[in-house]
Amino acid sequence: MKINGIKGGFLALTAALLLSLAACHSVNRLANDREIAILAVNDIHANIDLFPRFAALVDSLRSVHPDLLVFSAGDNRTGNPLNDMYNPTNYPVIDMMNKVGFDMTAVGNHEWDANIEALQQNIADAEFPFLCANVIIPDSIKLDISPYKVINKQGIKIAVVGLLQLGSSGFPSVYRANVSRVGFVKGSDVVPDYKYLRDENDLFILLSHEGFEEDLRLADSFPFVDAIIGGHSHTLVEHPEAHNGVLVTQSGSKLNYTTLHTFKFRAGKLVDKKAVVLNVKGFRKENAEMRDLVDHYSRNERLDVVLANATTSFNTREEIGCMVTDAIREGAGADFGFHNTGGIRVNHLDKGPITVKDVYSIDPFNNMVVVYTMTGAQLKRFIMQSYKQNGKRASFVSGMCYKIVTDDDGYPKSVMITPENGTFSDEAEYKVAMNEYMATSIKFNSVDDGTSLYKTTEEMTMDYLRNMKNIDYQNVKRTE
Amino acid sequence: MKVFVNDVEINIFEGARVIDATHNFINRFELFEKLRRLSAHDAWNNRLDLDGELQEGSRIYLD
Repeated sequence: MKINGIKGGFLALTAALLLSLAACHSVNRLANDREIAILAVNDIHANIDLFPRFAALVDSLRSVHPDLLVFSAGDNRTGNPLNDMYNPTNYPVIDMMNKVGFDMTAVGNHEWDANIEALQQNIADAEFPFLCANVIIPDSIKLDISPYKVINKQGIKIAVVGLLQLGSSGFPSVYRANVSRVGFVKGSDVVPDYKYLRDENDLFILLSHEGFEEDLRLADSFPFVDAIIGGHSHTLVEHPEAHNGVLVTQSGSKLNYTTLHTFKFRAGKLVDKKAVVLNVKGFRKENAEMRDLVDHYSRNERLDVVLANATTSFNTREEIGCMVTDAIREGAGADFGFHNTGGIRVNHLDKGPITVKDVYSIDPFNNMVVVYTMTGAQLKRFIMQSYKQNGKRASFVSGMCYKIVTDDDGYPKSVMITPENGTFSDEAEYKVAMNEYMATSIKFNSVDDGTSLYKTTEEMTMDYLRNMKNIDYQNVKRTE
Repeated sequence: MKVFVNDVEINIFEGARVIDATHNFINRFELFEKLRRLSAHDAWNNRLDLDGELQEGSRIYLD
């Protein structure tokens, strides 16, 4: 059989490794060595479809390593409406992680994607701890996040400290309102506080949702750490190695891969550490119980939940686009909202109930909303450039009507703007919200670099519809 | 925030992902044919998923 590329290579490696591990394990027993095995994933992002294979792989490894530990480096949720829209949100992933037997997870930025109460519900439902050492939780909030966890396996004490990434704003990459009641400090500032754990235990690990580049900086700064098991940047470290003596790993994302770490002890001393990447997607066996669970959760009635009632039908794509841009503008608290025409995938909606499933059909791209400050003149150029790059189609808008004036060849010469409220001037500054696709695909200038609100256009549309209850967009037209 | 694509500095919104920086770079240099065969890696030649999140100063490379 010809094995092509990394996929086949990992598949072969996975099978060979499982066989060789069995042999090594018996030798270890004879030598009375201790070997701690930790299987780690990160950024599962609710890809429940691969849980049956992952569970089968864990089953196989447990036949070799009965004391196998299973860690997640965070971002277990977000990315699959079957999971994220479940009530309670994210319960399917928590349930599957419980059944696999996860021992702990780091708190990733996306763990905060619902709200603090929803996160606490996840923590309460989980049969494993959530770790984060650089979050400050006021006494007024119930949030059972631990900074670290110590586990004893075969007489070896393993201390694990959780870390969470922060952006330059000092907050994790998440919708700001969701974390407004808690505080954060830089991960690198708190690691020295836990050095005593290194002295008191046999193995010291950072379970880091900081991203690979930051993990390397942590390795440079803190050589007393034995390993950094990472997430956040979705980096597949295909050949894990030590940096400054610290083993640094990460397994891509969405359960496609997992990393098996082995730490060998002789007379209580760590004498060897290594890690190997295993291909979950390419693993042929499935755990039947987990397959049943996936099938069960795939029948999620939450997708049929009615968000609002359309009192008239939507008969054009622009009518639907106007509804979505209104949601973006309102959700972002912006003066104007934009969405590219190609990003709206439905041309007609019947009068009557609009469901969660409808919203995902209208706008299936999981684009974040990004907000910029622009002058009126910059905004005009943005609208014209978007028209030019968008196949001479006017992007959908909220907060104004606009008319593109073109030359004989159809290229935009100018744009006439009629704001919904007040007046419009070239010199004034406006808050402009748009989907991520427009933010990166259109050439434009702005006063600032922009900020993601870490909330998707679908989420804002659903919030908007829930608030509106009844909507009527028939014959709404804002662009010419 | 500033990130680097193929060692070219790009200003992009905070919270951008690998795919955003890639789109920005492709758009800026009009390398549209690249869109069909995108793959990104970091300075250590580790493969990056396109929805991986970037931080200030992140460096990515497109093949």
